[in-house]
Amino acid sequence: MDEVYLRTDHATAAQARVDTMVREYQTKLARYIRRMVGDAEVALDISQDVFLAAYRILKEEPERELTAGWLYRAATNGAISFMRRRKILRMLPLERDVDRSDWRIDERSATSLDLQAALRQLPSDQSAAVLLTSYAGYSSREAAEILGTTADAIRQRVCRAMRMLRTVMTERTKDT
Amino acid sequence: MNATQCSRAEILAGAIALGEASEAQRDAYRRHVAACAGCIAALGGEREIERTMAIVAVARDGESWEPDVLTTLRAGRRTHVRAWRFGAAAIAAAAALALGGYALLTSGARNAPATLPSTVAYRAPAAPAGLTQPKAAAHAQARVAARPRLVVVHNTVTLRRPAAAEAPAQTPARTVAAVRPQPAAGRVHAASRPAVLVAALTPSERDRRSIAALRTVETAPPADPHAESIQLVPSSSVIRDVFPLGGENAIVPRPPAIAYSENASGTTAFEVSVDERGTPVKCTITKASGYLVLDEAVCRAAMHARYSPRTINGRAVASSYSDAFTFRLGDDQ
Repeated sequence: MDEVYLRTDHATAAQARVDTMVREYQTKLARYIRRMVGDAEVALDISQDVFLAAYRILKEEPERELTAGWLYRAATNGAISFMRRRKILRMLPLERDVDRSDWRIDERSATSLDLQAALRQLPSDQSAAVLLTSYAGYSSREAAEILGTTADAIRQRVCRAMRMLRTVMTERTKDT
Repeated sequence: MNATQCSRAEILAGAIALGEASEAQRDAYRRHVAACAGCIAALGGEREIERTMAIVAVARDGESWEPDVLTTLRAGRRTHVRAWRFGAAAIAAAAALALGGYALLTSGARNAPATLPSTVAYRAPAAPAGLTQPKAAAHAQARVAARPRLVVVHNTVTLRRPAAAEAPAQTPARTVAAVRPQPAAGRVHAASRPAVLVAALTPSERDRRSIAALRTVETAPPADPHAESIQLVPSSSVIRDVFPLGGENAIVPRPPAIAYSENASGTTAFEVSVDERGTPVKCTITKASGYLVLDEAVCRAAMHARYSPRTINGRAVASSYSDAFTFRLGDDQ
Protein backbone atom coordinates (compact mmCIF):
# COMPACT_ATOMS: atom_id res chain seq x y z
CA MET A 1 0.00 0.00 0.00
CA ASP A 2 2.76 2.40 1.01
CA GLU A 3 4.55 1.47 -2.14
CA VAL A 4 1.59 2.65 -4.21
CA TYR A 5 1.34 5.96 -2.36
CA LEU A 6 5.03 6.53 -2.75
CA ARG A 7 4.77 5.91 -6.46
CA THR A 8 1.86 8.29 -6.77
CA ASP A 9 3.86 10.86 -4.88
CA HIS A 10 6.81 10.44 -7.19
CA ALA A 11 4.56 10.72 -10.18
CA THR A 12 3.02 13.95 -8.92
CA ALA A 13 6.41 15.44 -8.11
CA ALA A 14 7.79 14.39 -11.48
CA GLN A 15 4.80 15.88 -13.21
CA ALA A 16 5.28 19.19 -11.44
CA ARG A 17 8.96 19.27 -12.35
CA VAL A 18 8.28 18.41 -15.96
CA ASP A 19 5.61 21.10 -16.11
CA THR A 20 8.16 23.65 -14.93
CA MET A 21 10.72 22.40 -17.42
CA VAL A 22 8.21 22.55 -20.24
CA ARG A 23 7.26 26.10 -19.41
CA GLU A 24 10.84 27.21 -19.25
CA TYR A 25 12.29 25.38 -22.22
CA GLN A 26 9.55 24.43 -24.64
CA THR A 27 10.04 27.41 -26.94
CA LYS A 28 13.82 27.26 -27.03
CA LEU A 29 13.90 23.52 -27.41
CA ALA A 30 11.19 23.24 -30.06
CA ARG A 31 12.73 26.05 -32.09
CA TYR A 32 16.10 24.33 -31.87
CA ILE A 33 14.58 21.06 -33.10
CA ARG A 34 12.70 22.87 -35.82
CA ARG A 35 16.00 24.21 -37.10
CA MET A 36 17.46 20.71 -36.94
CA VAL A 37 14.67 18.91 -38.80
CA GLY A 38 13.23 21.86 -40.72
CA ASP A 39 9.65 20.96 -39.89
CA ALA A 40 7.55 22.60 -37.22
CA GLU A 41 5.18 19.75 -36.52
CA VAL A 42 7.90 17.15 -36.31
CA ALA A 43 9.70 19.52 -33.96
CA LEU A 44 6.64 19.69 -31.74
CA ASP A 45 6.44 15.91 -31.79
CA ILE A 46 10.07 15.44 -30.84
CA SER A 47 9.87 18.01 -28.05
CA GLN A 48 6.93 16.12 -26.63
CA ASP A 49 8.97 12.94 -26.70
CA VAL A 50 11.81 14.69 -24.88
CA PHE A 51 9.58 15.92 -22.09
CA LEU A 52 7.86 12.57 -21.82
CA ALA A 53 11.23 10.90 -21.46
CA ALA A 54 12.14 13.44 -18.78
CA TYR A 55 8.92 12.62 -16.98
CA ARG A 56 9.62 8.90 -17.08
CA ILE A 57 13.13 9.37 -15.73
CA LEU A 58 12.04 11.69 -12.93
CA LYS A 59 9.29 9.31 -11.93
CA GLU A 60 11.74 6.47 -11.47
CA GLU A 61 14.61 8.50 -10.07
CA PRO A 62 13.23 11.50 -8.19
CA GLU A 63 16.72 12.59 -7.05
CA ARG A 64 18.06 12.94 -10.55
CA GLU A 65 18.88 16.42 -11.80
CA LEU A 66 17.87 17.01 -15.38
CA THR A 67 19.62 20.04 -16.77
CA ALA A 68 18.96 22.05 -19.89
CA GLY A 69 21.95 20.25 -21.35
CA TRP A 70 20.15 16.96 -20.89
CA LEU A 71 17.11 18.30 -22.71
CA TYR A 72 19.26 19.50 -25.57
CA ARG A 73 21.05 16.18 -25.76
CA ALA A 74 17.78 14.27 -25.87
CA ALA A 75 16.42 16.70 -28.44
CA THR A 76 19.52 16.34 -30.60
CA ASN A 77 19.31 12.58 -30.47
CA GLY A 78 15.63 12.68 -31.33
CA ALA A 79 16.25 15.00 -34.25
CA ILE A 80 19.19 12.98 -35.56
CA SER A 81 17.32 9.70 -35.43
CA PHE A 82 14.39 11.33 -37.17
CA MET A 83 16.67 12.59 -39.92
CA ARG A 84 18.23 9.17 -40.26
CA ARG A 85 14.85 7.48 -40.58
CA ARG A 86 13.74 10.02 -43.10
CA LYS A 87 16.81 9.36 -45.17
CA ILE A 88 16.34 5.61 -45.13
CA LEU A 89 12.67 5.66 -45.91
CA ARG A 90 12.93 8.42 -48.47
CA MET A 91 9.26 9.10 -48.05
CA LEU A 92 9.91 12.77 -48.34
CA PRO A 93 11.63 14.19 -51.35
CA LEU A 94 14.96 15.62 -50.25
CA GLU A 95 14.60 18.79 -52.21
CA ARG A 96 17.04 21.56 -51.62
CA ASP A 97 14.51 24.28 -51.15
CA VAL A 98 13.25 25.05 -47.70
CA ASP A 99 9.58 24.31 -47.20
CA ARG A 100 8.37 27.79 -46.46
CA SER A 101 5.10 26.63 -44.94
CA ASP A 102 6.99 25.53 -41.85
CA TRP A 103 7.90 29.10 -41.12
CA ARG A 104 5.48 31.69 -39.99
CA ILE A 105 5.10 34.52 -42.45
CA ASP A 106 7.08 36.91 -40.32
CA GLU A 107 9.89 34.36 -40.05
CA ARG A 108 10.46 34.03 -43.77
CA SER A 109 13.24 36.55 -43.99
CA ALA A 110 16.12 35.91 -46.35
CA THR A 111 18.37 35.43 -43.34
CA SER A 112 16.14 32.86 -41.73
CA LEU A 113 15.67 30.89 -44.94
CA ASP A 114 19.39 31.10 -45.76
CA LEU A 115 20.22 29.58 -42.42
CA GLN A 116 17.67 26.83 -42.96
CA ALA A 117 18.91 26.13 -46.50
CA ALA A 118 22.42 25.75 -45.15
CA LEU A 119 21.32 23.55 -42.26
CA ARG A 120 19.41 21.13 -44.46
CA GLN A 121 22.49 20.49 -46.56
CA LEU A 122 24.73 19.90 -43.59
CA PRO A 123 25.31 16.58 -41.83
CA SER A 124 23.33 16.56 -38.58
CA ASP A 125 26.40 16.64 -36.33
CA GLN A 126 27.48 19.90 -37.92
CA SER A 127 23.97 21.34 -37.71
CA ALA A 128 23.80 20.38 -34.06
CA ALA A 129 27.19 21.96 -33.38
CA VAL A 130 26.37 25.29 -34.94
CA LEU A 131 22.86 25.39 -33.46
CA LEU A 132 23.96 24.56 -29.93
CA THR A 133 26.60 27.26 -29.99
CA SER A 134 25.60 30.27 -32.06
CA TYR A 135 21.89 29.59 -31.90
CA ALA A 136 21.29 28.21 -28.42
CA GLY A 137 24.16 30.10 -26.86
CA TYR A 138 26.34 27.36 -25.43
CA SER A 139 30.11 27.63 -25.53
CA SER A 140 31.98 25.10 -27.60
CA ARG A 141 32.99 23.29 -24.42
CA GLU A 142 29.40 22.97 -23.20
CA ALA A 143 28.25 21.92 -26.65
CA ALA A 144 31.02 19.32 -26.69
CA GLU A 145 29.72 17.93 -23.43
CA ILE A 146 26.18 17.76 -24.78
CA LEU A 147 27.25 16.03 -27.97
CA GLY A 148 29.88 13.88 -26.32
CA THR A 149 32.88 15.16 -28.23
CA THR A 150 35.70 17.67 -27.83
CA ALA A 151 35.58 21.45 -28.01
CA ASP A 152 37.93 21.46 -30.98
CA ALA A 153 35.67 19.08 -32.86
CA ILE A 154 32.77 21.45 -32.22
CA ARG A 155 34.83 24.37 -33.53
CA GLN A 156 35.70 22.45 -36.64
CA ARG A 157 32.05 21.55 -37.24
CA VAL A 158 31.03 25.15 -36.72
CA CYS A 159 33.63 26.14 -39.28
CA ARG A 160 32.22 23.66 -41.82
CA ALA A 161 28.72 24.94 -41.14
CA MET A 162 29.93 28.49 -41.58
CA ARG A 163 31.38 27.54 -44.97
CA MET A 164 28.03 26.13 -46.05
CA LEU A 165 26.24 29.23 -44.85
CA ARG A 166 28.65 31.32 -46.85
CA THR A 167 28.06 29.23 -49.98
CA VAL A 168 24.30 29.49 -49.61
CA MET A 169 24.44 33.24 -49.18
CA THR A 170 26.74 33.73 -52.16
CA GLU A 171 24.51 31.58 -54.34
CA ARG A 172 21.41 33.49 -53.39
CA THR A 173 22.98 36.85 -54.12
CA LYS A 174 24.19 35.48 -57.44
CA ASP A 175 20.69 34.32 -58.39
CA THR A 176 19.01 37.62 -57.80
CA MET B 1 50.09 24.16 -47.09
CA ASN B 2 49.67 20.75 -45.63
CA ALA B 3 46.41 19.26 -44.52
CA THR B 4 47.21 19.36 -40.81
CA GLN B 5 47.74 23.09 -40.87
CA CYS B 6 44.53 23.63 -42.82
CA SER B 7 42.49 21.55 -40.45
CA ARG B 8 44.06 23.48 -37.57
CA ALA B 9 42.92 26.63 -39.36
CA GLU B 10 39.38 25.28 -39.48
CA ILE B 11 39.39 24.94 -35.72
CA LEU B 12 40.72 28.48 -35.39
CA ALA B 13 38.07 29.72 -37.78
CA GLY B 14 35.45 27.95 -35.68
CA ALA B 15 36.76 29.66 -32.57
CA ILE B 16 36.59 33.00 -34.34
CA ALA B 17 33.09 32.18 -35.54
CA LEU B 18 32.01 31.54 -31.96
CA GLY B 19 33.80 34.59 -30.60
CA GLU B 20 36.01 32.36 -28.47
CA ALA B 21 39.33 32.99 -30.17
CA SER B 22 42.15 34.58 -28.20
CA GLU B 23 44.33 37.24 -29.76
CA ALA B 24 47.05 34.64 -30.30
CA GLN B 25 44.61 32.36 -32.08
CA ARG B 26 43.38 35.19 -34.28
CA ASP B 27 46.99 35.94 -35.11
CA ALA B 28 47.64 32.33 -35.98
CA TYR B 29 44.60 32.31 -38.24
CA ARG B 30 45.68 35.52 -39.97
CA ARG B 31 49.12 34.09 -40.56
CA HIS B 32 47.70 30.91 -42.00
CA VAL B 33 45.27 32.52 -44.40
CA ALA B 34 47.89 35.01 -45.53
CA ALA B 35 49.88 32.08 -46.86
CA CYS B 36 47.08 29.67 -47.80
CA ALA B 37 44.99 30.66 -50.79
CA GLY B 38 42.70 27.69 -50.40
CA CYS B 39 41.66 28.58 -46.87
CA ILE B 40 41.13 32.27 -47.48
CA ALA B 41 38.89 31.39 -50.42
CA ALA B 42 36.94 28.77 -48.54
CA LEU B 43 36.69 30.33 -45.10
CA GLY B 44 37.20 34.03 -45.64
CA GLY B 45 38.88 36.54 -43.40
CA GLU B 46 38.11 37.10 -39.75
CA ARG B 47 35.52 39.81 -40.36
CA GLU B 48 33.87 37.75 -43.04
CA ILE B 49 33.53 34.83 -40.67
CA GLU B 50 31.96 37.04 -38.04
CA ARG B 51 29.59 38.57 -40.55
CA THR B 52 28.50 35.18 -41.83
CA MET B 53 27.92 33.85 -38.34
CA ALA B 54 25.96 36.92 -37.34
CA ILE B 55 23.05 35.76 -39.46
CA VAL B 56 22.47 32.82 -37.13
CA ALA B 57 21.64 35.17 -34.29
CA VAL B 58 19.64 37.44 -36.58
CA ALA B 59 17.59 34.50 -37.82
CA ARG B 60 17.07 33.28 -34.27
CA ASP B 61 15.95 36.66 -32.99
CA GLY B 62 13.50 36.94 -35.85
CA GLU B 63 11.68 33.79 -34.87
CA SER B 64 8.23 34.08 -33.41
CA TRP B 65 6.92 30.53 -33.28
CA GLU B 66 5.63 29.74 -29.80
CA PRO B 67 4.95 26.03 -29.55
CA ASP B 68 2.62 24.84 -26.85
CA VAL B 69 3.99 21.51 -25.73
CA LEU B 70 2.25 21.52 -22.39
CA THR B 71 -1.28 21.67 -23.73
CA THR B 72 -0.69 18.91 -26.23
CA LEU B 73 1.00 16.80 -23.59
CA ARG B 74 -1.86 17.30 -21.19
CA ALA B 75 -4.59 16.76 -23.69
CA GLY B 76 -3.00 13.51 -24.74
CA ARG B 77 -3.17 14.78 -28.27
CA ARG B 78 -0.39 14.28 -30.71
CA THR B 79 0.25 15.91 -33.99
CA HIS B 80 0.40 12.48 -35.66
CA VAL B 81 2.87 13.79 -38.16
CA ARG B 82 5.30 10.98 -37.89
CA ALA B 83 2.71 8.26 -37.92
CA TRP B 84 1.14 9.80 -40.93
CA ARG B 85 4.34 10.37 -42.81
CA PHE B 86 5.76 6.94 -42.33
CA GLY B 87 2.58 4.98 -42.04
CA ALA B 88 4.10 3.37 -39.00
CA ALA B 89 1.26 2.24 -36.84
CA ALA B 90 3.79 1.09 -34.32
CA ILE B 91 4.90 4.63 -33.65
CA ALA B 92 1.34 5.76 -33.06
CA ALA B 93 0.70 2.82 -30.79
CA ALA B 94 3.85 3.51 -28.83
CA ALA B 95 2.84 7.12 -28.53
CA ALA B 96 -0.61 6.20 -27.31
CA LEU B 97 0.95 3.86 -24.81
CA ALA B 98 3.40 6.45 -23.60
CA LEU B 99 0.78 9.12 -23.26
CA GLY B 100 -1.63 6.75 -21.71
CA GLY B 101 1.09 6.02 -19.22
CA TYR B 102 1.68 9.66 -18.59
CA ALA B 103 -2.00 10.21 -18.05
CA LEU B 104 -2.66 7.16 -16.00
CA LEU B 105 0.29 7.03 -13.70
CA THR B 106 -0.47 10.45 -12.44
CA SER B 107 -3.85 9.30 -11.32
CA GLY B 108 -2.34 6.34 -9.58
CA ALA B 109 -3.95 3.60 -11.60
CA ARG B 110 -1.40 1.18 -12.93
CA ASN B 111 -3.17 -1.68 -14.62
CA ALA B 112 -5.18 -0.01 -17.30
CA PRO B 113 -5.53 -1.11 -20.91
CA ALA B 114 -2.92 0.31 -23.22
CA THR B 115 -5.33 1.78 -25.71
CA LEU B 116 -7.00 4.65 -24.00
CA PRO B 117 -9.33 7.22 -25.33
CA SER B 118 -7.48 10.50 -25.15
CA THR B 119 -10.16 11.89 -22.88
CA VAL B 120 -8.61 10.03 -19.97
CA ALA B 121 -5.80 12.56 -19.89
CA TYR B 122 -5.12 13.45 -16.33
CA ARG B 123 -6.41 16.92 -16.46
CA ALA B 124 -9.04 18.02 -18.91
CA PRO B 125 -7.40 20.83 -20.81
CA ALA B 126 -9.08 24.16 -20.48
CA ALA B 127 -9.12 24.39 -24.22
CA PRO B 128 -11.45 26.82 -25.90
CA ALA B 129 -14.52 25.15 -27.31
CA GLY B 130 -13.51 25.60 -30.91
CA LEU B 131 -10.19 23.82 -30.62
CA THR B 132 -11.24 20.28 -31.27
CA GLN B 133 -9.16 17.77 -33.06
CA PRO B 134 -11.07 17.73 -36.35
CA LYS B 135 -10.58 21.43 -36.58
CA ALA B 136 -6.88 21.11 -35.93
CA ALA B 137 -6.70 18.43 -38.59
CA ALA B 138 -8.58 20.60 -41.02
CA HIS B 139 -6.22 23.41 -40.23
CA ALA B 140 -3.23 21.21 -40.96
CA GLN B 141 -4.82 20.10 -44.21
CA ALA B 142 -5.51 23.63 -45.27
CA ARG B 143 -1.94 24.46 -44.47
CA VAL B 144 -0.68 21.82 -46.83
CA ALA B 145 -3.18 22.47 -49.56
CA ALA B 146 -3.16 26.22 -49.64
CA ARG B 147 -0.17 28.45 -49.60
CA PRO B 148 -1.84 31.77 -49.04
CA ARG B 149 -0.36 34.88 -50.45
CA LEU B 150 -0.55 38.26 -48.92
CA VAL B 151 -1.23 41.21 -51.14
CA VAL B 152 -1.00 44.71 -49.81
CA VAL B 153 -2.45 47.46 -51.96
CA HIS B 154 -2.16 50.70 -50.13
CA ASN B 155 -4.01 50.03 -46.97
CA THR B 156 -5.97 47.07 -48.13
CA VAL B 157 -4.43 43.75 -47.30
CA THR B 158 -5.81 40.89 -49.30
CA LEU B 159 -5.32 37.43 -47.99
CA ARG B 160 -5.04 35.25 -51.03
CA ARG B 161 -5.16 31.53 -51.25
CA PRO B 162 -4.64 29.44 -54.38
CA ALA B 163 -7.87 28.72 -56.24
CA ALA B 164 -7.00 25.04 -56.50
CA ALA B 165 -7.24 24.60 -52.77
CA GLU B 166 -10.08 22.58 -51.39
CA ALA B 167 -12.92 24.88 -50.63
CA PRO B 168 -13.45 25.07 -46.90
CA ALA B 169 -16.80 24.01 -45.54
CA GLN B 170 -17.85 27.51 -44.81
CA THR B 171 -17.46 29.82 -47.76
CA PRO B 172 -15.33 32.79 -46.90
CA ALA B 173 -17.30 35.92 -46.45
CA ARG B 174 -16.06 38.03 -49.28
CA THR B 175 -16.19 41.50 -47.87
CA VAL B 176 -15.74 44.49 -50.05
CA ALA B 177 -12.81 46.41 -48.81
CA ALA B 178 -13.72 49.48 -46.91
CA VAL B 179 -10.52 51.38 -46.58
CA ARG B 180 -10.69 53.86 -43.84
CA PRO B 181 -7.48 55.77 -43.70
CA GLN B 182 -7.47 58.14 -40.81
CA PRO B 183 -5.65 61.33 -41.61
CA ALA B 184 -3.11 62.05 -38.96
CA ALA B 185 -2.80 65.72 -39.72
CA GLY B 186 -2.25 67.92 -36.73
CA ARG B 187 -4.32 66.18 -34.15
CA VAL B 188 -3.74 66.14 -30.47
CA HIS B 189 -5.45 63.05 -29.27
CA ALA B 190 -7.36 63.11 -26.07
CA ALA B 191 -5.92 60.75 -23.58
CA SER B 192 -9.37 59.68 -22.54
CA ARG B 193 -10.10 57.90 -25.78
CA PRO B 194 -11.25 54.37 -25.01
CA ALA B 195 -9.16 51.83 -26.76
CA VAL B 196 -8.08 48.26 -26.90
CA LEU B 197 -4.46 48.16 -25.95
CA VAL B 198 -2.54 45.37 -27.51
CA ALA B 199 -0.18 45.41 -24.65
CA ALA B 200 2.94 43.33 -24.77
CA LEU B 201 2.20 41.48 -28.02
CA THR B 202 2.95 38.23 -26.31
CA PRO B 203 2.97 35.67 -29.06
CA SER B 204 2.68 32.70 -26.76
CA GLU B 205 -1.03 32.10 -27.07
CA ARG B 206 -1.19 33.35 -30.59
CA ASP B 207 -0.77 30.45 -32.83
CA ARG B 208 -2.85 27.52 -31.79
CA ARG B 209 -5.79 29.21 -30.25
CA SER B 210 -9.12 28.75 -31.83
CA ILE B 211 -10.70 31.62 -33.58
CA ALA B 212 -13.54 31.55 -31.12
CA ALA B 213 -11.12 32.70 -28.52
CA LEU B 214 -9.55 35.20 -30.85
CA ARG B 215 -12.75 36.94 -31.71
CA THR B 216 -12.82 40.14 -29.78
CA VAL B 217 -15.91 42.01 -28.92
CA GLU B 218 -16.67 45.39 -30.35
CA THR B 219 -14.85 47.51 -27.87
CA ALA B 220 -14.08 50.89 -29.28
CA PRO B 221 -17.01 53.28 -29.34
CA PRO B 222 -16.37 56.27 -31.57
CA ALA B 223 -14.27 58.91 -29.92
CA ASP B 224 -15.81 62.21 -29.07
CA PRO B 225 -14.86 64.48 -31.97
CA HIS B 226 -14.85 67.59 -29.82
CA ALA B 227 -12.40 66.15 -27.40
CA GLU B 228 -9.50 66.32 -29.79
CA SER B 229 -9.67 69.79 -31.26
CA ILE B 230 -7.31 71.29 -28.76
CA GLN B 231 -4.41 72.85 -30.61
CA LEU B 232 -1.75 74.11 -28.30
CA VAL B 233 0.51 75.49 -31.00
CA PRO B 234 0.43 79.07 -32.23
CA SER B 235 -0.93 79.24 -35.75
CA SER B 236 2.20 80.83 -37.19
CA SER B 237 4.50 77.89 -36.48
CA VAL B 238 5.66 75.52 -39.21
CA ILE B 239 4.49 72.04 -38.42
CA ARG B 240 5.61 68.93 -40.17
CA ASP B 241 3.61 65.98 -39.08
CA VAL B 242 4.84 62.58 -38.01
CA PHE B 243 5.15 60.14 -40.86
CA PRO B 244 6.58 56.67 -41.29
CA LEU B 245 9.93 56.62 -43.04
CA GLY B 246 9.43 55.04 -46.42
CA GLY B 247 5.91 56.36 -46.75
CA GLU B 248 2.56 54.84 -45.93
CA ASN B 249 3.55 51.52 -47.41
CA ALA B 250 6.42 51.15 -44.97
CA ILE B 251 4.02 49.55 -42.51
CA VAL B 252 3.25 46.08 -43.78
CA PRO B 253 1.24 43.91 -41.42
CA ARG B 254 1.99 40.22 -41.74
CA PRO B 255 -0.70 38.21 -40.04
CA PRO B 256 0.24 34.70 -38.94
CA ALA B 257 -0.83 31.71 -40.97
CA ILE B 258 -3.83 31.02 -38.77
CA ALA B 259 -5.44 34.21 -40.05
CA TYR B 260 -5.59 32.72 -43.53
CA SER B 261 -7.02 29.42 -42.52
CA GLU B 262 -9.63 31.10 -40.37
CA ASN B 263 -10.61 33.51 -43.12
CA ALA B 264 -10.02 36.48 -40.89
CA SER B 265 -11.08 39.79 -42.34
CA GLY B 266 -11.91 43.24 -41.09
CA THR B 267 -10.60 46.72 -40.59
CA THR B 268 -8.10 47.59 -37.93
CA ALA B 269 -7.40 51.17 -37.02
CA PHE B 270 -4.39 51.89 -34.90
CA GLU B 271 -2.57 54.73 -33.30
CA VAL B 272 1.09 54.66 -32.60
CA SER B 273 2.80 57.01 -30.15
CA VAL B 274 6.06 58.24 -31.59
CA ASP B 275 8.66 59.95 -29.47
CA GLU B 276 10.72 62.92 -30.57
CA ARG B 277 13.39 60.67 -32.05
CA GLY B 278 10.93 58.90 -34.32
CA THR B 279 10.87 55.70 -32.35
CA PRO B 280 7.47 54.10 -31.88
CA VAL B 281 6.68 53.84 -28.19
CA LYS B 282 3.22 52.39 -27.89
CA CYS B 283 0.65 51.01 -30.27
CA THR B 284 -3.03 51.21 -29.58
CA ILE B 285 -5.85 49.65 -31.55
CA THR B 286 -8.54 52.28 -31.94
CA LYS B 287 -10.85 50.05 -33.92
CA ALA B 288 -10.54 46.31 -33.59
CA SER B 289 -11.08 44.15 -36.65
CA GLY B 290 -12.63 41.45 -34.52
CA TYR B 291 -9.58 39.23 -34.92
CA LEU B 292 -6.78 39.54 -32.45
CA VAL B 293 -4.28 38.09 -34.92
CA LEU B 294 -4.94 40.87 -37.41
CA ASP B 295 -4.80 43.58 -34.75
CA GLU B 296 -1.56 42.20 -33.41
CA ALA B 297 -0.04 41.97 -36.87
CA VAL B 298 -0.88 45.61 -37.50
CA CYS B 299 0.55 46.75 -34.21
CA ARG B 300 3.65 44.67 -34.68
CA ALA B 301 4.23 46.21 -38.09
CA ALA B 302 3.57 49.68 -36.76
CA MET B 303 6.05 49.17 -33.95
CA HIS B 304 8.67 47.89 -36.37
CA ALA B 305 8.53 50.93 -38.62
CA ARG B 306 10.62 54.04 -38.09
CA TYR B 307 9.04 57.43 -38.22
CA SER B 308 10.10 60.95 -38.93
CA PRO B 309 8.89 62.77 -35.85
CA ARG B 310 6.43 65.62 -35.83
CA THR B 311 8.31 68.89 -35.86
CA ILE B 312 7.19 72.33 -34.76
CA ASN B 313 9.44 75.02 -36.17
CA GLY B 314 12.03 72.37 -36.76
CA ARG B 315 11.94 71.08 -33.22
CA ALA B 316 10.93 67.45 -32.93
CA VAL B 317 8.18 66.59 -30.50
CA ALA B 318 6.47 63.42 -29.45
CA SER B 319 3.22 62.76 -31.22
CA SER B 320 1.10 59.96 -32.52
CA TYR B 321 0.42 58.52 -35.95
CA SER B 322 -2.77 56.78 -36.86
CA ASP B 323 -3.87 54.84 -39.86
CA ALA B 324 -6.07 51.89 -40.73
CA PHE B 325 -5.74 48.63 -42.58
CA THR B 326 -8.47 46.56 -44.13
CA PHE B 327 -7.91 42.85 -44.44
CA ARG B 328 -10.05 40.98 -46.86
CA LEU B 329 -10.16 37.52 -48.32
CA GLY B 330 -9.30 36.88 -51.88
CA ASP B 331 -8.54 34.07 -54.28
CA ASP B 332 -5.75 33.90 -56.76
CA GLN B 333 -6.69 35.32 -60.15
